[in-house]
Amino acid sequence: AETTLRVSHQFPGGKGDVRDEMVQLMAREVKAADVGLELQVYPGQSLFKAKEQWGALVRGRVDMISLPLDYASGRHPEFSATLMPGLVRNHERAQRLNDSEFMGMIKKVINDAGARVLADAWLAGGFASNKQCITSPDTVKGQTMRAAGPAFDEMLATAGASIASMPSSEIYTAMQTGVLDGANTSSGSFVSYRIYEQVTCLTAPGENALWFMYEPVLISDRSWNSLNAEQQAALTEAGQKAEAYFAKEAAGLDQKMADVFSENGVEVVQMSQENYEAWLNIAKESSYKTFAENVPNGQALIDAALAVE
Amino acid sequence: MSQSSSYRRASERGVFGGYIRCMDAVSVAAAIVAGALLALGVLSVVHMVFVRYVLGESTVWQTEFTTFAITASMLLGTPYVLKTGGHVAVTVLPDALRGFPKRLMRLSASLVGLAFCLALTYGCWYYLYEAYAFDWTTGTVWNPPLWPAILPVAVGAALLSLQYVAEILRGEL
Amino acid sequence: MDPVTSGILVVVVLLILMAIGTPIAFALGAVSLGALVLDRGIGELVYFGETFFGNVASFGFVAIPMFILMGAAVASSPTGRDLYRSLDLWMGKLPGGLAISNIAACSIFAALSGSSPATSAAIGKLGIPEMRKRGYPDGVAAGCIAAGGTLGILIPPSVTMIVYGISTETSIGRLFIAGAMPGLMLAALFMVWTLLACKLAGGYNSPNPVAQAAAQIKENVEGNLKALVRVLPFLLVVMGILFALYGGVATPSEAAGVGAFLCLVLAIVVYRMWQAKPIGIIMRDALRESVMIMLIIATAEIFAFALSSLFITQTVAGAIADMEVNRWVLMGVINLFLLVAGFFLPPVAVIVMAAPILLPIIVAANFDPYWFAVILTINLEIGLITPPVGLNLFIIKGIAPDIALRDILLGSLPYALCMILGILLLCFFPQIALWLPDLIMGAGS
Ligand code: NA
Ligand code: NA
Repeated sequence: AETTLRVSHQFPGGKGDVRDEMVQLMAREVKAADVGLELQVYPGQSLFKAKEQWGALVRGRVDMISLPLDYASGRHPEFSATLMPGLVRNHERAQRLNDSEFMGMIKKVINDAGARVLADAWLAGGFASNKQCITSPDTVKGQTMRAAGPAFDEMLATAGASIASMPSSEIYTAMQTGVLDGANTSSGSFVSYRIYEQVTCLTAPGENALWFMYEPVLISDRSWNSLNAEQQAALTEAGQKAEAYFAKEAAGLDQKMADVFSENGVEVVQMSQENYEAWLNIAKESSYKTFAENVPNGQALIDAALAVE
Repeated sequence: MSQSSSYRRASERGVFGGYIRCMDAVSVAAAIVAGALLALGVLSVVHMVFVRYVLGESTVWQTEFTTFAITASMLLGTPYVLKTGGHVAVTVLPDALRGFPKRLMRLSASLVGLAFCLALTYGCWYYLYEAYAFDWTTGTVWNPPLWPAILPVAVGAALLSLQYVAEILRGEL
Repeated sequence: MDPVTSGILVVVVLLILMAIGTPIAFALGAVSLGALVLDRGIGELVYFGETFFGNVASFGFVAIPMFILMGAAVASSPTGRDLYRSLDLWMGKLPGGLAISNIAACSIFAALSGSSPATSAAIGKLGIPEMRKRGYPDGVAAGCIAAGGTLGILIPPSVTMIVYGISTETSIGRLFIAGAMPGLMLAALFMVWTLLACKLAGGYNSPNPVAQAAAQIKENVEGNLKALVRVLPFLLVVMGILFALYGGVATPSEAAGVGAFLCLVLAIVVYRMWQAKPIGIIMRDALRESVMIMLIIATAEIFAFALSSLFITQTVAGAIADMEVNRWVLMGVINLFLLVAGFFLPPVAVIVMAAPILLPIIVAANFDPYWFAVILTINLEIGLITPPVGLNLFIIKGIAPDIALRDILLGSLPYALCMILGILLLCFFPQIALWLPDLIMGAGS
C-alpha cells in the first residue's frame, strides 16, 4: 500500500529556495524509486510554525522536517553549537565536520530525542554594513547590528556592537532608516531581502567565515520504523542525493551573493586568517564560555568541533 | 442578533449560587491582573524603545517579556469577557425560539464552548508540565525558562472553563 | 475522506455551531479540534496547548492589544465629543450636515484607533442620539455610524492590516500607508451618499434654528478652539508614531507600545483623568475588545492549521490556481468568496484563514500585494455591516437598542454599495492605494 509522509519546512515553496528544492528533490527521488512511498511537502510554515516544527517531529505530528536546528535549542541547548560563531569556517570543513565526533555528539542528541538525520546541510552567511567593512572585531565597535542567533549576539556585543533584535524581513527598512548599521544573516537572505540596496560593504564567506548554520532534513523514529526496508533504503538514498545537491548549491549561493552585491556597487571583502582568529578569541571569552557553562557537555562539544582539521 | 448571552442574575441561594458568585469574583480578579499585565507589557516596550533609540544600547529581554506579558493578559482576561458576554456570537436563531427548543439550543451551544475550553485547558496544562519537567527554555539571548510564560495561559484557560460552567448554571437555574 | 468532502463537512459543522449561538471563537476552535482528532487521533489534543501558545505568543500580534489600548485611551477622553462639536459647527449648515460631520468624525477617529467597532462606538455614542434628536431618520443615523466606523481598519492604524502583514510577511508600515488614500476616498463616497440621501428625504439641516445657533456661536467658537487644542496632542502622538512606522524607524509593536503609553499619559494629563475609575474603564474597554479579537485570531489560526493538515487549503488553492481564467475574473471570484466569508466571520478571522492562501495566487496573477490588502480590507468592511455577524451592527444595537434591525440594515446597505464602488475604483485606478506608499517608501520595497 502507498505510504504518505508529511514533510514540513518554513521556506518559500516552489520559488527556488535551496532548502525547499532539497526536500522536493527527495520527494521526486522517492517517487521514482517506486517503493510505495510518497512525500507530501508543506512549505512556508503552512503546517507548523518554524519554532514548532521540532516538537511536532519528535511527537510524530509530522513525519519529516527541514529545520535550522538551532530553533530547537530551547529544548536541547546542545543545538546552539550548530549556530556558533567560527565553529565551521568554510564549506570544505563543513563536509569534514559532518563525519566528525562533534556531529556524532549532536546527532546523538537528535537520536535520543526520537529523530534521525536524512541529509546534512550547512548554510553560510556573512556581514553587511553601511558604516564600514566588518572584518576585524574592532570594526563593529559602535555599530548597531542585527545578528542571527544568540551566540552571535553575545560575541558582537562583547566586541562593542549594540544589538537590535528583529526578524530578518525587517532588516531592509531598519537599514534604510538608520536603525541598523549592520546585519549578519545567511547568503540567501541577504540576496532575497535586497540588502545590497542599503549597504556599502559586504563581508562574504570565503576561507574564513564566521557564520554557518546547520539545517538538516530530519525524520522521526516513529515514521522511520513504520517504513519497510525497501522504503528506508530509497529514503536514505534520496537523502544522500539531496545532501550532495545542497552542498553544491550552498557554495553557489555565496558566489551569487558576492556577484549581486558587487554588481550593485557594494564593496565585497572577506575575513583574513588574523581577523578570523581575533573573532575566535572573542567568541571563546563570550559565547563559547556561556555555552560551556550552561550546557552539560558544552566544552566537550566546542573542543570536538575545533579539533576537526 | 446581539452579543452572546447577556448577564443574567445568579440564583441567590444554594451551592450553585455560591459557585457562580465565587467564579464571578475570581474572573474579575483575573481581569485586574490581566489589565496590570497589559500595562506592564506596554511599559516594557517603552523601556525597550528608550534603551535602544535614546541610550543606543542593546536590548535583550524586552521583546520576549512583552510578548509573554500580553499573551498572559489576553488569556487571563477571557473569563471576564465570557462573563460579560464579550465573545461575539450569533444569537438570531436561539433568540427567535421559545421554551424548550430555545433552552436546548442554548445549552448545546454552551456545551460546545465548554468542550473547547476544557480541551484548551488540558492542552495548556500538559504543555506547562512538559516545559517544567524538561527544563525547556525559549532558546534566545535572554533564554528564560519557558514555563512561567505558559503558567498564566494555563491558569486563564482553567478559569475560562470554570466560568463557562458558571454561565451554564446561571442560564439553567 | 478526500479533502473536498472533509472541507465541506468542516464548513457545514462550523456554520451549525455558529447558528446555535456558540461564540465564534469557540466554534472555530471546537470544529478544528474535532476535525484534527478525527483525522490524526487523540494525540492532537495532547499537543494542542503548544499549538495554541505558539499561535498567540508572537511579538507581532502583541501590537494589536496595544493599538486597541491606544484607541481606548483616546475614546475614553472627551476627544470624541470635542471632535464632534467642532465638526458640527462647521458642517451644520449643509443638508445632512450633521450626518456628514459624523462621517468626518469617524474618519478622524479612525486615524486615532485601529479598530472599526471601537470607532463606531466612540462616535456613535454621541452621534446617534444627536442625529435622532435633530430629526434624522433612524436608518441614516445608524447607517452612517455603522459605515463610518468601518473606516477604522482602513485608515491607519489598523488591526487587520497588522494581521495581514504578519500572515503574509508583508511590511505593516507600507500596508498602513496604502490604506490612507482609499480611506479618504471611501469617506468621501460615504459623504456624497449621505448628502444625496438627505436631499432625497427633504434635507436635514432643520432643527438647528438660526436663533439658537446665533446664541451658541460665541460659546461654540471658544469651545471649538479649546476642543481642537485638546484633540491636537492625540493627533500629534498618533501621527508621530505612524511616521516612525512608515519611516521604518520602529516596528509596529514598538510604535503601538509607545503610542498606547503616550495616549494614556495624555488622557491623564490633558483630560485630567488621574483617578482610578477612568483609568480602570480604559483598561477594561481595551481588555474586552483585545481579548475578543485575540481569541478569534488564535482559534482562526487553529482552524487554518486544521484545514492545512487535512490538505483542504492546498486542494482549494490548487483548484484556484488551475482555473485558466482572466486575472480580473479571478479577482472577481476571490472578492465574491471574501464577501461571503465576511457575512459570517469577523475580518481578522477571514484574513488569518484566507490571506496566506490567496497571496501567492494574487502575486502569481501579477497583482500588487499591498493593493490587494486594501481591496481585501474594504471587502471585509462590508462584512462589518452585514448580518449575521457584523461587529459594527452589534455596536449600533448596543447604543440604540430601539432602532429596528431592518432600519439599521436598510440604512447601511447603500454604504455597502459605496464600498463596492470603492473596490471598483481601486481596480481601475490602483494608484489610489499605491501612489502614497511609493512616494513615501520608494517603489516596490
Ligand atoms: Na484606523
Ligand atoms: Na457580516
